[in-house]
Amino acid sequence: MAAESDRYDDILRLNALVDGELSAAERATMASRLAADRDLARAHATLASLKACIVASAETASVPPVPELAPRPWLPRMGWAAAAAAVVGLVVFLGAIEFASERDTPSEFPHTIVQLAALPASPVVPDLAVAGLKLTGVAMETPGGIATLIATYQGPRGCRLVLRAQRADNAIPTAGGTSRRTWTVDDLAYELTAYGMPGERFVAIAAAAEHATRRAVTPADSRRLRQASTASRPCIG
Amino acid sequence: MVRDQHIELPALLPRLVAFARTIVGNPETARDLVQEAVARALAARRVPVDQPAYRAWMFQIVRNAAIDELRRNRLEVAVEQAPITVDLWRFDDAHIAKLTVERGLSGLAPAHREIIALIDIAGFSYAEAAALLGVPDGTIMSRIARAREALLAAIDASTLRVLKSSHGR
Repeated sequence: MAAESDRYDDILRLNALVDGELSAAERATMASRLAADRDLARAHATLASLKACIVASAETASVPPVPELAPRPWLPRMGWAAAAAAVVGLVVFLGAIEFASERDTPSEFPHTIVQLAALPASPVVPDLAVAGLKLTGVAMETPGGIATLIATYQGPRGCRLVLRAQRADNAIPTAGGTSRRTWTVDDLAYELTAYGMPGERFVAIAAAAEHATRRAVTPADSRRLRQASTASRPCIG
Repeated sequence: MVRDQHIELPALLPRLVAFARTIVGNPETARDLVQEAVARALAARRVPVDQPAYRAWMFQIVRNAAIDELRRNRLEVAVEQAPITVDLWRFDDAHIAKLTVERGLSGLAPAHREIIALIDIAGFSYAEAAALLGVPDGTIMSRIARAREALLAAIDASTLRVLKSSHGR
Protein backbone atom coordinates (compact mmCIF):
# COMPACT_ATOMS: atom_id res chain seq x y z
CA MET A 1 0.00 0.00 0.00
CA ALA A 2 2.86 2.35 0.89
CA ALA A 3 4.58 1.51 -2.39
CA GLU A 4 1.39 2.39 -4.28
CA SER A 5 1.18 5.72 -2.49
CA ASP A 6 4.89 6.46 -3.12
CA ARG A 7 4.40 5.68 -6.77
CA TYR A 8 1.49 8.10 -7.02
CA ASP A 9 3.53 10.80 -5.27
CA ASP A 10 6.35 10.22 -7.73
CA ILE A 11 3.97 10.64 -10.66
CA LEU A 12 2.76 13.94 -9.23
CA ARG A 13 6.33 15.13 -8.69
CA LEU A 14 7.45 14.08 -12.16
CA ASN A 15 4.60 16.03 -13.70
CA ALA A 16 5.42 19.04 -11.53
CA LEU A 17 9.06 18.73 -12.61
CA VAL A 18 8.27 18.87 -16.33
CA ASP A 19 5.96 21.82 -15.65
CA GLY A 20 8.67 23.76 -13.81
CA GLU A 21 6.64 23.76 -10.61
CA LEU A 22 9.21 22.34 -8.16
CA SER A 23 11.37 24.49 -5.92
CA ALA A 24 15.15 24.46 -6.38
CA ALA A 25 15.54 22.08 -3.44
CA GLU A 26 12.87 19.73 -4.78
CA ARG A 27 14.45 19.80 -8.23
CA ALA A 28 17.82 18.91 -6.74
CA THR A 29 16.28 15.99 -4.87
CA MET A 30 14.53 14.74 -7.98
CA ALA A 31 17.68 15.14 -10.06
CA SER A 32 19.64 12.85 -7.77
CA ARG A 33 16.80 10.33 -7.73
CA LEU A 34 16.53 10.41 -11.52
CA ALA A 35 20.25 9.75 -11.79
CA ALA A 36 19.92 6.68 -9.58
CA ASP A 37 16.58 5.25 -10.72
CA ARG A 38 16.32 4.18 -14.35
CA ASP A 39 12.54 3.62 -14.24
CA LEU A 40 11.97 7.05 -12.75
CA ALA A 41 14.22 8.64 -15.40
CA ARG A 42 12.33 6.82 -18.12
CA ALA A 43 8.96 7.99 -16.81
CA HIS A 44 10.31 11.53 -16.65
CA ALA A 45 11.49 11.32 -20.26
CA THR A 46 8.06 10.04 -21.30
CA LEU A 47 6.26 12.95 -19.64
CA ALA A 48 8.73 15.49 -21.02
CA SER A 49 8.32 14.06 -24.52
CA LEU A 50 4.53 14.12 -24.18
CA LYS A 51 4.52 17.75 -23.06
CA ALA A 52 6.84 18.77 -25.91
CA CYS A 53 4.52 17.10 -28.42
CA ILE A 54 1.44 18.79 -26.98
CA VAL A 55 3.19 22.17 -27.16
CA ALA A 56 4.27 21.44 -30.75
CA SER A 57 0.72 20.52 -31.73
CA ALA A 58 -0.42 23.97 -30.56
CA GLU A 59 1.98 25.64 -33.00
CA THR A 60 -0.16 24.63 -35.95
CA ALA A 61 -3.24 26.58 -34.88
CA SER A 62 -4.50 28.86 -37.63
CA VAL A 63 -5.43 32.30 -36.37
CA PRO A 64 -8.71 33.99 -37.25
CA PRO A 65 -8.77 37.61 -38.37
CA VAL A 66 -9.02 40.06 -35.49
CA PRO A 67 -11.71 42.73 -35.52
CA GLU A 68 -10.20 46.16 -35.91
CA LEU A 69 -8.91 47.59 -32.65
CA ALA A 70 -9.81 51.05 -31.45
CA PRO A 71 -7.79 53.91 -33.04
CA ARG A 72 -4.31 54.15 -31.58
CA PRO A 73 -3.76 57.22 -29.38
CA TRP A 74 -0.36 58.04 -30.85
CA LEU A 75 -1.62 59.00 -34.29
CA PRO A 76 -2.99 62.48 -33.49
CA ARG A 77 -0.10 63.40 -31.22
CA MET A 78 2.63 62.29 -33.63
CA GLY A 79 1.21 64.29 -36.48
CA TRP A 80 0.08 62.70 -39.70
CA ALA A 81 3.40 63.17 -41.51
CA ALA A 82 5.38 61.36 -38.83
CA ALA A 83 2.70 58.71 -38.48
CA ALA A 84 2.71 58.11 -42.22
CA ALA A 85 6.50 57.84 -42.17
CA ALA A 86 6.25 55.32 -39.36
CA VAL A 87 3.66 53.25 -41.16
CA VAL A 88 5.70 53.24 -44.37
CA GLY A 89 8.71 52.19 -42.33
CA LEU A 90 6.79 49.38 -40.68
CA VAL A 91 5.47 48.13 -44.00
CA VAL A 92 9.05 48.09 -45.28
CA PHE A 93 10.07 46.36 -42.08
CA LEU A 94 7.40 43.68 -42.24
CA GLY A 95 8.26 43.03 -45.86
CA ALA A 96 11.89 42.74 -44.86
CA ILE A 97 11.02 40.14 -42.25
CA GLU A 98 9.52 37.94 -44.93
CA PHE A 99 12.46 38.58 -47.23
CA ALA A 100 15.06 38.03 -44.53
CA SER A 101 13.52 34.77 -43.42
CA GLU A 102 14.18 33.35 -46.88
CA ARG A 103 17.42 35.07 -47.72
CA ASP A 104 19.06 34.50 -44.36
CA THR A 105 18.30 30.82 -44.02
CA PRO A 106 21.97 29.84 -43.67
CA SER A 107 22.45 32.34 -40.87
CA GLU A 108 21.64 31.12 -37.38
CA PHE A 109 20.86 34.56 -36.00
CA PRO A 110 19.44 36.98 -38.55
CA HIS A 111 18.18 40.43 -37.71
CA THR A 112 16.34 43.24 -39.44
CA ILE A 113 17.24 46.90 -39.56
CA VAL A 114 14.27 49.26 -39.31
CA GLN A 115 14.28 52.72 -40.83
CA LEU A 116 11.87 55.17 -39.24
CA ALA A 117 11.79 58.91 -39.75
CA ALA A 118 10.72 59.44 -36.14
CA LEU A 119 13.97 58.00 -34.72
CA PRO A 120 17.48 59.45 -35.00
CA ALA A 121 19.07 56.12 -36.01
CA SER A 122 17.96 52.78 -37.44
CA PRO A 123 16.96 50.31 -34.71
CA VAL A 124 17.94 46.67 -35.13
CA VAL A 125 15.26 44.06 -34.37
CA PRO A 126 16.96 40.72 -33.67
CA ASP A 127 15.38 37.47 -34.80
CA LEU A 128 15.20 35.32 -31.64
CA ALA A 129 13.62 32.27 -33.29
CA VAL A 130 16.71 30.24 -32.43
CA ALA A 131 15.80 30.76 -28.77
CA GLY A 132 12.21 29.64 -29.42
CA LEU A 133 10.87 33.20 -29.45
CA LYS A 134 8.83 34.29 -32.43
CA LEU A 135 8.56 37.93 -33.45
CA THR A 136 4.82 38.47 -33.10
CA GLY A 137 4.36 42.17 -33.46
CA VAL A 138 5.92 45.54 -34.05
CA ALA A 139 4.46 48.95 -33.37
CA MET A 140 5.37 52.58 -33.25
CA GLU A 141 4.06 54.37 -30.17
CA THR A 142 4.71 57.64 -28.36
CA PRO A 143 4.54 56.96 -24.60
CA GLY A 144 5.09 60.30 -22.85
CA GLY A 145 5.45 61.92 -26.27
CA ILE A 146 8.62 59.91 -27.05
CA ALA A 147 8.63 58.04 -30.37
CA THR A 148 9.29 54.38 -29.52
CA LEU A 149 9.68 51.30 -31.67
CA ILE A 150 8.19 48.29 -29.86
CA ALA A 151 8.85 44.71 -30.95
CA THR A 152 7.18 41.82 -29.13
CA TYR A 153 8.32 38.20 -29.04
CA GLN A 154 6.35 35.18 -27.89
CA GLY A 155 7.51 31.72 -26.88
CA PRO A 156 5.50 28.49 -26.82
CA ARG A 157 4.75 28.40 -23.10
CA GLY A 158 3.81 31.88 -22.06
CA CYS A 159 7.30 33.36 -22.56
CA ARG A 160 7.16 36.96 -23.69
CA LEU A 161 9.75 39.61 -24.41
CA VAL A 162 9.33 43.24 -25.38
CA LEU A 163 12.13 45.19 -27.05
CA ARG A 164 11.84 48.98 -27.08
CA ALA A 165 14.03 51.47 -28.91
CA GLN A 166 13.85 55.24 -28.52
CA ARG A 167 16.08 58.32 -28.60
CA ALA A 168 18.92 57.94 -26.10
CA ASP A 169 18.85 61.56 -24.96
CA ASN A 170 15.31 61.40 -23.56
CA ALA A 171 14.61 57.71 -23.07
CA ILE A 172 11.96 56.80 -20.52
CA PRO A 173 12.30 53.42 -18.78
CA THR A 174 9.12 51.34 -18.61
CA ALA A 175 7.58 49.79 -15.53
CA GLY A 176 6.59 46.16 -15.24
CA GLY A 177 8.23 42.95 -16.30
CA THR A 178 10.31 40.60 -14.21
CA SER A 179 13.70 41.08 -15.91
CA ARG A 180 15.10 44.04 -17.77
CA ARG A 181 18.28 44.98 -19.61
CA THR A 182 19.05 48.41 -21.06
CA TRP A 183 21.85 49.55 -23.34
CA THR A 184 22.66 52.32 -25.78
CA VAL A 185 23.88 52.06 -29.35
CA ASP A 186 24.67 55.26 -31.24
CA ASP A 187 21.73 57.59 -30.54
CA LEU A 188 19.30 54.86 -29.55
CA ALA A 189 18.42 53.51 -26.12
CA TYR A 190 17.27 49.89 -26.10
CA GLU A 191 15.33 48.20 -23.37
CA LEU A 192 14.52 44.48 -23.31
CA THR A 193 11.88 43.37 -20.80
CA ALA A 194 10.83 39.81 -19.96
CA TYR A 195 7.69 38.66 -18.22
CA GLY A 196 8.15 35.64 -15.96
CA MET A 197 11.16 34.29 -17.82
CA PRO A 198 13.73 32.36 -15.73
CA GLY A 199 16.72 34.62 -15.01
CA GLU A 200 19.47 32.58 -16.66
CA ARG A 201 17.52 32.23 -19.87
CA PHE A 202 16.83 35.96 -19.99
CA VAL A 203 20.50 36.82 -19.41
CA ALA A 204 21.57 34.68 -22.38
CA ILE A 205 18.88 36.06 -24.67
CA ALA A 206 19.44 39.68 -23.63
CA ALA A 207 23.19 39.43 -24.22
CA ALA A 208 22.62 38.05 -27.70
CA ALA A 209 19.99 40.68 -28.44
CA GLU A 210 22.34 43.46 -27.39
CA HIS A 211 25.11 42.08 -29.60
CA ALA A 212 22.66 41.94 -32.50
CA THR A 213 21.74 45.60 -32.06
CA ARG A 214 25.47 46.41 -31.99
CA ARG A 215 25.79 44.29 -35.13
CA ALA A 216 28.45 42.28 -33.35
CA VAL A 217 26.91 38.82 -33.04
CA THR A 218 29.35 36.06 -32.07
CA PRO A 219 29.11 32.27 -32.52
CA ALA A 220 28.72 32.09 -28.74
CA ASP A 221 25.50 34.13 -29.02
CA SER A 222 23.94 31.60 -31.38
CA ARG A 223 25.02 28.77 -29.11
CA ARG A 224 23.57 30.48 -26.03
CA LEU A 225 20.31 31.12 -27.84
CA ARG A 226 20.00 27.49 -28.85
CA GLN A 227 20.68 26.47 -25.26
CA ALA A 228 18.06 28.97 -24.10
CA SER A 229 15.48 27.36 -26.37
CA THR A 230 15.89 24.05 -24.58
CA ALA A 231 15.09 25.47 -21.14
CA SER A 232 12.29 23.32 -19.78
CA ARG A 233 10.53 25.81 -17.52
CA PRO A 234 7.55 27.75 -18.78
CA CYS A 235 7.41 31.49 -18.24
CA ILE A 236 5.05 32.39 -15.45
CA GLY A 237 3.39 35.73 -15.77
CA MET B 1 -0.36 58.22 -21.32
CA VAL B 2 -3.24 56.30 -22.84
CA ARG B 3 -2.28 52.66 -23.19
CA ASP B 4 -3.80 50.44 -25.83
CA GLN B 5 -5.70 47.99 -23.65
CA HIS B 6 -5.52 45.17 -26.15
CA ILE B 7 -1.93 45.48 -27.29
CA GLU B 8 -1.26 41.91 -26.08
CA LEU B 9 -4.11 40.39 -28.04
CA PRO B 10 -2.48 39.64 -31.41
CA ALA B 11 0.35 37.79 -29.71
CA LEU B 12 -2.13 35.73 -27.67
CA LEU B 13 -4.28 34.62 -30.61
CA PRO B 14 -2.41 31.46 -31.69
CA ARG B 15 -2.50 30.14 -28.09
CA LEU B 16 -6.14 31.05 -27.68
CA VAL B 17 -7.06 29.15 -30.83
CA ALA B 18 -4.99 26.12 -29.82
CA PHE B 19 -6.51 26.29 -26.33
CA ALA B 20 -10.06 26.35 -27.71
CA ARG B 21 -9.26 23.64 -30.24
CA THR B 22 -7.99 21.34 -27.51
CA ILE B 23 -11.13 21.79 -25.42
CA VAL B 24 -13.76 21.54 -28.16
CA GLY B 25 -11.79 19.24 -30.47
CA ASN B 26 -12.72 20.99 -33.70
CA PRO B 27 -10.45 23.56 -35.40
CA GLU B 28 -13.22 25.44 -37.18
CA THR B 29 -15.36 25.69 -34.06
CA ALA B 30 -12.28 26.83 -32.14
CA ARG B 31 -11.62 29.64 -34.59
CA ASP B 32 -15.25 30.76 -34.36
CA LEU B 33 -15.15 30.66 -30.57
CA VAL B 34 -12.00 32.78 -30.46
CA GLN B 35 -13.47 35.31 -32.86
CA GLU B 36 -16.53 35.51 -30.66
CA ALA B 37 -14.35 35.86 -27.55
CA VAL B 38 -12.25 38.60 -29.15
CA ALA B 39 -15.38 40.52 -30.09
CA ARG B 40 -16.57 40.25 -26.48
CA ALA B 41 -13.19 41.40 -25.17
CA LEU B 42 -13.04 44.39 -27.47
CA ALA B 43 -16.51 45.40 -26.40
CA ALA B 44 -15.78 45.04 -22.68
CA ARG B 45 -15.89 48.18 -20.60
CA ARG B 46 -13.47 46.91 -17.98
CA VAL B 47 -10.24 45.43 -19.27
CA PRO B 48 -7.50 44.19 -16.89
CA VAL B 49 -4.54 46.54 -16.97
CA ASP B 50 -1.60 44.34 -16.02
CA GLN B 51 -0.45 41.72 -18.51
CA PRO B 52 -0.83 38.50 -16.47
CA ALA B 53 -4.37 39.51 -15.54
CA TYR B 54 -5.18 40.41 -19.15
CA ARG B 55 -3.87 37.04 -20.33
CA ALA B 56 -5.90 35.13 -17.72
CA TRP B 57 -8.96 37.22 -18.58
CA MET B 58 -8.71 36.42 -22.29
CA PHE B 59 -8.28 32.68 -21.67
CA GLN B 60 -11.22 32.79 -19.26
CA ILE B 61 -13.44 34.34 -21.94
CA VAL B 62 -12.42 31.67 -24.45
CA ARG B 63 -12.91 28.94 -21.84
CA ASN B 64 -16.41 30.15 -21.06
CA ALA B 65 -17.25 30.18 -24.77
CA ALA B 66 -15.82 26.65 -25.15
CA ILE B 67 -17.81 25.34 -22.18
CA ASP B 68 -20.98 26.86 -23.63
CA GLU B 69 -20.20 25.09 -26.88
CA LEU B 70 -19.70 21.75 -25.09
CA ARG B 71 -22.99 22.22 -23.26
CA ARG B 72 -24.76 22.90 -26.54
CA ASN B 73 -23.45 19.49 -27.58
CA ARG B 74 -24.56 17.95 -24.28
CA LEU B 75 -21.03 17.46 -22.99
CA GLU B 76 -19.84 18.61 -19.57
CA VAL B 77 -16.40 19.58 -18.32
CA ALA B 78 -16.82 17.56 -15.14
CA VAL B 79 -13.91 16.37 -13.05
CA GLU B 80 -12.94 12.96 -14.27
CA GLN B 81 -11.76 10.49 -11.63
CA ALA B 82 -10.15 8.16 -14.11
CA PRO B 83 -8.07 5.33 -12.68
CA ILE B 84 -4.45 4.96 -13.80
CA THR B 85 -4.69 2.92 -16.96
CA VAL B 86 -1.17 2.99 -18.32
CA ASP B 87 2.21 1.85 -17.06
CA LEU B 88 4.11 5.12 -17.03
CA TRP B 89 7.31 3.35 -16.00
CA ARG B 90 7.48 1.23 -19.13
CA PHE B 91 5.77 3.35 -21.76
CA ASP B 92 7.26 3.12 -25.25
CA ASP B 93 8.19 6.73 -26.09
CA ALA B 94 8.40 5.88 -29.79
CA HIS B 95 4.60 6.05 -29.83
CA ILE B 96 4.61 9.68 -28.74
CA ALA B 97 4.39 11.90 -31.81
CA LYS B 98 2.44 14.98 -32.82
CA LEU B 99 -0.03 12.87 -34.77
CA THR B 100 -0.67 10.33 -32.02
CA VAL B 101 -0.88 13.07 -29.39
CA GLU B 102 -3.46 15.01 -31.39
CA ARG B 103 -5.47 11.85 -32.00
CA GLY B 104 -5.23 10.92 -28.32
CA LEU B 105 -6.28 14.40 -27.17
CA SER B 106 -9.37 14.31 -29.36
CA GLY B 107 -10.55 11.16 -27.58
CA LEU B 108 -10.05 12.38 -24.02
CA ALA B 109 -12.78 13.48 -21.64
CA PRO B 110 -13.38 17.27 -21.79
CA ALA B 111 -12.04 17.69 -18.23
CA HIS B 112 -8.71 16.10 -19.20
CA ARG B 113 -8.49 18.15 -22.38
CA GLU B 114 -9.19 21.31 -20.43
CA ILE B 115 -6.42 20.91 -17.88
CA ILE B 116 -3.90 19.97 -20.58
CA ALA B 117 -4.97 23.04 -22.55
CA LEU B 118 -4.46 25.27 -19.51
CA ILE B 119 -1.06 23.95 -18.47
CA ASP B 120 0.63 22.84 -21.68
CA ILE B 121 -0.99 25.02 -24.33
CA ALA B 122 -1.86 28.23 -22.50
CA GLY B 123 1.28 27.83 -20.36
CA PHE B 124 -0.35 28.70 -17.06
CA SER B 125 1.37 27.83 -13.80
CA TYR B 126 -0.49 25.54 -11.39
CA ALA B 127 -1.33 28.58 -9.25
CA GLU B 128 -2.71 30.52 -12.22
CA ALA B 129 -4.75 27.54 -13.43
CA ALA B 130 -6.05 27.01 -9.90
CA ALA B 131 -7.15 30.63 -9.66
CA LEU B 132 -8.83 30.40 -13.06
CA LEU B 133 -10.73 27.22 -12.17
CA GLY B 134 -11.36 28.19 -8.54
CA VAL B 135 -9.73 25.08 -7.08
CA PRO B 136 -6.67 24.48 -4.83
CA ASP B 137 -3.20 24.19 -6.41
CA GLY B 138 -3.02 20.55 -5.33
CA THR B 139 -6.11 19.76 -7.36
CA ILE B 140 -4.40 21.07 -10.49
CA MET B 141 -1.36 18.93 -9.70
CA SER B 142 -3.42 15.74 -9.53
CA ARG B 143 -5.66 16.68 -12.46
CA ILE B 144 -2.79 17.29 -14.86
CA ALA B 145 -1.13 14.03 -13.77
CA ARG B 146 -4.34 12.08 -14.38
CA ALA B 147 -4.97 13.82 -17.69
CA ARG B 148 -1.50 13.01 -19.00
CA GLU B 149 -1.85 9.40 -17.93
CA ALA B 150 -5.19 9.24 -19.71
CA LEU B 151 -3.54 10.69 -22.81
CA LEU B 152 -0.73 8.15 -22.68
CA ALA B 153 -3.30 5.40 -22.25
CA ALA B 154 -5.20 6.68 -25.30
CA ILE B 155 -1.99 6.75 -27.34
CA ASP B 156 -1.12 3.25 -26.15
CA ALA B 157 -4.56 1.89 -26.98
CA SER B 158 -4.68 3.48 -30.41
CA THR B 159 -3.77 1.50 -33.50
CA LEU B 160 -2.09 4.61 -34.89
CA ARG B 161 1.67 4.17 -34.94
CA VAL B 162 4.42 6.44 -36.18
CA LEU B 163 6.89 5.03 -38.66
CA LYS B 164 9.78 7.32 -37.77
CA SER B 165 11.19 8.12 -34.34
CA SER B 166 11.37 11.86 -35.07
CA HIS B 167 8.52 12.52 -32.61
CA GLY B 168 6.81 14.45 -35.31
CA ARG B 169 8.80 17.62 -34.77
